[in-house]
Amino acid sequence: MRCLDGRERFGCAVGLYDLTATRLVRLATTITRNQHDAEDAVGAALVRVADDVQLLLRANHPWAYLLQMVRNEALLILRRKKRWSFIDNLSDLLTKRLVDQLEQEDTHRAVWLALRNLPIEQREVVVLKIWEELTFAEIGEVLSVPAATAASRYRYALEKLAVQLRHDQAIGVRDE
Amino acid sequence: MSNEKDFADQPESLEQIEAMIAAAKDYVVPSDYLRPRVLEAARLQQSHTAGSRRLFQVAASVFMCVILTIPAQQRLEAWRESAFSPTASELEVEALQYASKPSIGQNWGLYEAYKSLRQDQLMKITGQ
Repeated sequence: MRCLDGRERFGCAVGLYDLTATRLVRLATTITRNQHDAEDAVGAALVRVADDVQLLLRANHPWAYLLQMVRNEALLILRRKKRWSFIDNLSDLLTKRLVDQLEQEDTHRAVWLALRNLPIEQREVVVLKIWEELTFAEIGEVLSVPAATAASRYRYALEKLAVQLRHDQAIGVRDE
Repeated sequence: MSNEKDFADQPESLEQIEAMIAAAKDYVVPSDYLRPRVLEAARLQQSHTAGSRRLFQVAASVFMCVILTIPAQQRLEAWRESAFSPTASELEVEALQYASKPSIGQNWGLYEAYKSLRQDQLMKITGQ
């Protein structure tokens, strides 16, 4: 396999960032419950990959491997910083508000808040299943757990989310 | 009636919950400064790695040179000793060593040095 020179590797880093950053930040934010920490995790993982592109090329499932790298970095930051996390609000998040989606913003915020209240192992399964559209087998590979465990975590998470979101909507309706 | 309509909007099934979560996917976006920060860090890391790799290559080359040079130099030295006679100054030094012993003068020192040289040459020629 041909070695890439510095310029080619930098080109790889640019392409990789543009293709994956949004999705990786989303996953890491769910894990760390803090977007600043999440961006640090994504940055660290992407810099490692840019430095050694073979890491991804050697992997059987490069996308799963990259998700795993970001997850590991996020968990590392989470353990190291032990910072006060924004569980009850979303003030750390940078959000995109499209004009035609303004009315859905409350729902989106409710979803993100509800996700933050889940245990970490359930949060990441939900993100990988719904946002990354991975199968339970693939999720199991990313999280190093059996597919059945991933599936049961997902089921528990959805049940909790359903309760939380119904509760939030009921409060919203009453307030209106 | 109004309550019935309002509660009809609530997520009933898990499919609806999944749809709600899926819709919130693009709500959070990376900050504007993340891209330049990551790319700059990647560039620095790459140049650091390239520098380290170059340093390692230079160190490995020097090490290999030393490893290969030492035996080569020893062989060369042995060959030089067998192929060439000592120089006049080397002979003179040897003569002085003989002369430094008691009861041996300078002339005899030179004689002994020549005698020793001739014996060495004879041994090399005859292979003994």
